[in-house]
Amino acid sequence: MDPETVVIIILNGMFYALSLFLITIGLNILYSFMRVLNIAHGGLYATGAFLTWALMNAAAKAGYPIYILWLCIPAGAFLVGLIGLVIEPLLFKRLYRLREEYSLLATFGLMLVFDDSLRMIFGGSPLSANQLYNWMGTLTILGKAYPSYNFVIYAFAIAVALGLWIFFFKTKMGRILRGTAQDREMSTCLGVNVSILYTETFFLAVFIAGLGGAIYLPATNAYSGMGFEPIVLSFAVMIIGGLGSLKGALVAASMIGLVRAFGIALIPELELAVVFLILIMTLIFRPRGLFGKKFTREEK
Amino acid sequence: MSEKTSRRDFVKTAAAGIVGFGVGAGVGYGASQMMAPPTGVAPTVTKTVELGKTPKGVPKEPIKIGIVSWFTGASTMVGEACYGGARFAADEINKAGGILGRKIEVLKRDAGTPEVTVDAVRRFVLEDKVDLMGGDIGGSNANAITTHVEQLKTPFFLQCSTTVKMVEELDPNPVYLFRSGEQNLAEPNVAAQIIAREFPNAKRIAGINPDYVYGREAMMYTMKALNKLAPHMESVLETWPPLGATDFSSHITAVLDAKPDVVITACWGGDFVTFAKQATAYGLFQKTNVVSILGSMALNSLTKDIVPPGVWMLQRDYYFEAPPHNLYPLNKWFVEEYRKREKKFPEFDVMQIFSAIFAYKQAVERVYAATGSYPENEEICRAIQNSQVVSPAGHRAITSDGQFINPLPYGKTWHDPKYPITTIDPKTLGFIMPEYVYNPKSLPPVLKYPLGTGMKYSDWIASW
Repeated sequence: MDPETVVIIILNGMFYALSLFLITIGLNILYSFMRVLNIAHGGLYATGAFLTWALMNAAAKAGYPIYILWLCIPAGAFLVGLIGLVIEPLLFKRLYRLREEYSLLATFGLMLVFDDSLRMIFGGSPLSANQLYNWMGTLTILGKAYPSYNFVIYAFAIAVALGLWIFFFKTKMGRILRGTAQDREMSTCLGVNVSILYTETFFLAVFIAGLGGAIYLPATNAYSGMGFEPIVLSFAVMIIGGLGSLKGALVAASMIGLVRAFGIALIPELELAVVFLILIMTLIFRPRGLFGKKFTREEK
Repeated sequence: MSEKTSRRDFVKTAAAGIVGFGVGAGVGYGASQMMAPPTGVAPTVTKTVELGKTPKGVPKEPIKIGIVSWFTGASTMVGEACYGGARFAADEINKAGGILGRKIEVLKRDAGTPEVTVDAVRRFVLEDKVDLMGGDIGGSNANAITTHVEQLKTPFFLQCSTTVKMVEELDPNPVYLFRSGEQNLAEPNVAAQIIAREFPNAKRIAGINPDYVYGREAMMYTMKALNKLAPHMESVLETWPPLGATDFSSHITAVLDAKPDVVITACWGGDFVTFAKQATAYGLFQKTNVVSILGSMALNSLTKDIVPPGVWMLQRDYYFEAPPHNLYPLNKWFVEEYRKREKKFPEFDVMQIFSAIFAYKQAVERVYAATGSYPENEEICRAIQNSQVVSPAGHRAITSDGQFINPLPYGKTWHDPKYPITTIDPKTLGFIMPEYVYNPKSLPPVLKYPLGTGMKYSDWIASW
C-alpha cells in the first residue's frame, strides 16, 4: 500500500467517523441530561435527510442559486428541531422520570412511526440531491481523486463539537444544564424552569440529529430505513466512548472510523466485525467506556 | 373444441403436450426477441377471452392476489414495484371484465425475516383466503416458504428471488411454486460472459458486493464462470459493504489500490445509487471498467449525474426499452401506461408480476374452456407449467418446474436526451439467450443445453 493511499484511507476513516459522531452526539445529550435512550434518533436523522431533500429539490427546480441550496441544510435540520418540539411534550416529557427500558421501548415504537411516515410521504425509491456534491467537485490529493464535499462534513462536525463544548462548559446555560442533570430537584428549588430547559435541550439534540441527516444527504441519498444502521452504530460509539461523554463520542467514532477504513483495505471480510470487536473489548476491559464516569453501586 | 374434456384428460393432455410445446416455444421464443408481435397482441392483454356471456359455475367472489414483499426498510422500492405491477395488471383485467367475470383485488403483506415471510404467506391463505400470491422476497425467504406453499396448495409467483437451492434441493418438482423472475443466479453468468467478451485482455478482477447471500453468490458464480471462460482472469480483491451501507469510500479506495481491470458490483437499490455517486467522485469509473449486476433495480433513481456513460449494466430479465417499442407495441403500451400510473419507468419487478398474473388468467381460461367448470388450484398450476405467456418482455416460456424464462438484456449506459435517467445505449443493447445462462434441467427440452437433466448449476459451469 503506497503512502498516498494511506492518506486517503485516513481521510475516509475520518469521514465515516465524523458522520457517526454527528449522530451520536445528539443521543449523548439526551442521555446525559435527561436519561433518555432515544432509538427514534435514527428516525430524526432520516427525517433530516428527507426534509432537506424536499427543500433542495424544490429550490433546484425553482432555479435558485447554489447558496440557497446550502441554506437548505440548516433549514432541514431546523424543521426536524420543530418536530422535536412537538414530540417532546407528547412523549418524551413522560419518559424523563421513568427507567431507561421504558424510553427504549417507547422510542423504538416512535422510530417505526418515523420510518413508515417517511415511506408514505416520500415513497420507497432512494432520493438523491447531488447538486452540492457535484458543485464541490473532486480534489486531487497526492495524485488521488477525493470528493471535496467530504471536507464540508469534517468542518461541520468539528464546528458542532466545538460549539457544543463551548455551550456546555463555557456558558451560563450550559452550567445550569449540567447542574440540573446532576440534581433536578435542587435546580427546581433554585428557580430553574426545568421543563423549559429540557425542551430547549431536546430541541438542540434533535436539531443535531437532523443536521447529521441533512449534511450527509449530498454524499449519499435518502431512503426508507436509513435510520436503522446509524442508530446501532451510534449506540456502539456511545458505549465505547462512555455514556454522556462528548469527548468520548469523538474519540470512539474516530477509532471506529479509522479501524474500519484500514480493516476494509487489509482484511475486507472483517469490516463489521471490527466495530463490534472494539465494543466487546470495551465492555470486558472498561465497561464504563473510554471517558465515561465510574458507575456508582446504585447504578450498577 | 367440440366436446368437453374431463379435468383428468385435460391435465393428461397438458402433460403430453410438453414436447409439442417445446418445439413451439423454441421457435416462437427465439423469434419473439426482435420480431414484431402478431397484430393484436396488445389487446390480448387487456381483453378477457370470450367464453359466453355468463360463464357457468364461476364463483362470484373476487379473485384475491396477495403480494408479499418488502414494504418497509431499505428494500421498500422492491415491494412498491411488485405491488404497483400487480395493481396495474389487476386494473387492466378488471377493466376488461375480470377473469371469467371475477374481479381482482390486490392485498399486500410485509416480508422480512424468513419467519415473518412464512407467517405472511400462511395468513394470506388461511385468513384472507387469497387465490394466488406473488412478490419479490429474496433468496432465503424463498427457500423458507417452499414447503408451505406446496402444503397450502395455493400458487405463489416468486419474482427476483435468486436461489439455486430452492429448485435444486428444496422443491425440485414444484406444483404451486413459480418464479416469474430470473432464475438461479443467471446474472453472474451473464456478467462473466460480458467480461470475457468485452475485456478479453483483463486479468485483475475486483468486487464490491453486498455482504449477504446474494452478494456473495453473485461474486462467487461470476468468478466460477470466468474461470472457465477466461482462466487468465483472477480475483484480486473482494470487499463486502453491509446491505444498506451509506459509505463506500473505503471500499472504493481499497479496490482502486488493487488496480483491477474490471470491477464487479452486485450492489442494488439505494446501495447502488450511493456507491455510484461516491465512485464517480473517487474516479472509479474513469480509472477502471465497471460491470453492474443489479444496479438497474434502482432504474428510476439513476440520474445522469450519478451514473456516467460506459458502465456495463445488466437488466435482469427486463429493460423498459427492450423489445424496442417500434417493433413491439405491447412493450410501448406497457411502459407508457405504467408511467402514466406511477410517474416512473417500470422496473423488472413490475414486468415479472404483471406477466405472472396474466399467465394465471390465461391458465384459468384455458382450463375452463377445456373442462367447462371452474378450475381447482392444481389444475391452474398444471396449465401454467409448460406454457408461455405474451408479456411486455416478449414471449416468456414457463418451464415444467415453473420458471418463467426469456432472454436477459444488458448494455452499456449512456445519457439519452429524451430520458431524465441513465439508460442503455441502443447500440450496445444485447441479450444473452437462456440456454447460455440457465441450468439445463429448468429449460424446456428444445432449449436444453447441454442435453441432460438434474445437473447442478455449479456442476454445469464446471462442465464447460
